[in-house]
Amino acid sequence: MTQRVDHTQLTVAAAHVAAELHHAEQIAGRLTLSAKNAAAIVLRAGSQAAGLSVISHFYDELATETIKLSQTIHQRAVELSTIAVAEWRTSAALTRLGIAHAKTDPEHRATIDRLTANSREELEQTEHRFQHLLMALQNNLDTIQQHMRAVDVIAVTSRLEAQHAGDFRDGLIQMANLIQKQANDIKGHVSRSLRWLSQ
Amino acid sequence: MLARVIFEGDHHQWIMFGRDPDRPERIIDTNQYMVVSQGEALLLDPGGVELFAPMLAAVLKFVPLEKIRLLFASHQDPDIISSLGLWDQVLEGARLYCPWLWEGFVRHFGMHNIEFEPIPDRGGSMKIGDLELTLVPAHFLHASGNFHVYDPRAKILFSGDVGASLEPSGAPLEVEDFERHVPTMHTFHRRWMPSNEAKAAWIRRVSALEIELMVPQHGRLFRGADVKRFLTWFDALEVGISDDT
Repeated sequence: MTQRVDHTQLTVAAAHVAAELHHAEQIAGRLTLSAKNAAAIVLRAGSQAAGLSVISHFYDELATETIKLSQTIHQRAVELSTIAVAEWRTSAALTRLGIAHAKTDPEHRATIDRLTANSREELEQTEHRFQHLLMALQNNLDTIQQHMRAVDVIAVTSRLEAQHAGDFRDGLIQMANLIQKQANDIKGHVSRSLRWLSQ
Repeated sequence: MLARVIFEGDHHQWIMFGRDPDRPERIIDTNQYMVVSQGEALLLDPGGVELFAPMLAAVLKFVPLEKIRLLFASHQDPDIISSLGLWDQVLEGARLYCPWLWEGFVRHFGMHNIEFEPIPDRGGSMKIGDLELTLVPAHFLHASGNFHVYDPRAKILFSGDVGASLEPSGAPLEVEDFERHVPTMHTFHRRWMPSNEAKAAWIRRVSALEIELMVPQHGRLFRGADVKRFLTWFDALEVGISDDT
């Protein structure tokens, strides 16, 4: 019974991660747009915002990379959820084989024992695949968190640099604030995903 | 799995799920639908056990799990509702609307927590949020106990297997050229639909409804004038025929 509940939770957790990363990917798309807008302002500001040109390019790179990672995580999370369902079903089959075993005369148990052994082996294999995928997914989530922390730091630097951008100051500060908010929103989705996986 | 909002009203929305590129080979492609009204969700023909994981992930993009209050199964086929045993483990306090005829059958998929709401042969209604949906009898199209769902506010008819087409994956979501679409529906309807009488009764019933979008469980969606074109085509089609008949 405990095993069944675990598989249910794993399936639901992985499905939640897929949904969270779908939202993160959408925000990352908006982040890319913000990065391009920031680059356009920096270009117009010319020498007044020379220090920001590398920064705006960096935003763009991180956002694009985050979109790719979000897509990968979304796919992996759906796969993880699918594997969890497979484990869930194999585990349910094992429970029922146990019942069949108890109801069968000892001399006729060989077939059930063989099926039980096969199911156990299958469960071990899927469990191995599940752990492998889970680890990869957690690494991807950590990478996104690192990217977003970097965006956060760069946004602070951008605001400082923007102080010297004359007429473009307010526009650049507004853009830095927006980028920071989007990064924080993505961090929120990733944090929730990590929480789902740790439960 | 593709998730597309197909209707967005002031108070409710319809979302279609399907065209899953990762579904196992030789499993028929299915369309699942979700109606959300006032934060509560209803899943129409939630699909087979093999699609449960991608379906769950897709649904969670729109609503939290605890908001799924109702399931509807047009009939008892595995591509419609064999995921029931898994939904049963993850939903709390949900109810399944299903033709009364199939209760003893669908319980074989596993149903311990979800409550069974038998739909009488004459049909009826079900309520999600503040939205009342009509349960339209569609018996023998193809199952002997079978219902479709009509949303009078959105003017959408969920038509189950009626209007289904069999196409390679990646086909567009909606019918674009009705005449070119006909061959993809022909064999399916001739073989799966067993009764001309039942077909005629359904056409009479459905013709009285105002339908802007007809959404089947397989294949493309019919919009506007294509709904009428479909009814005319279906009316003229002799059904209940196989190659050996």
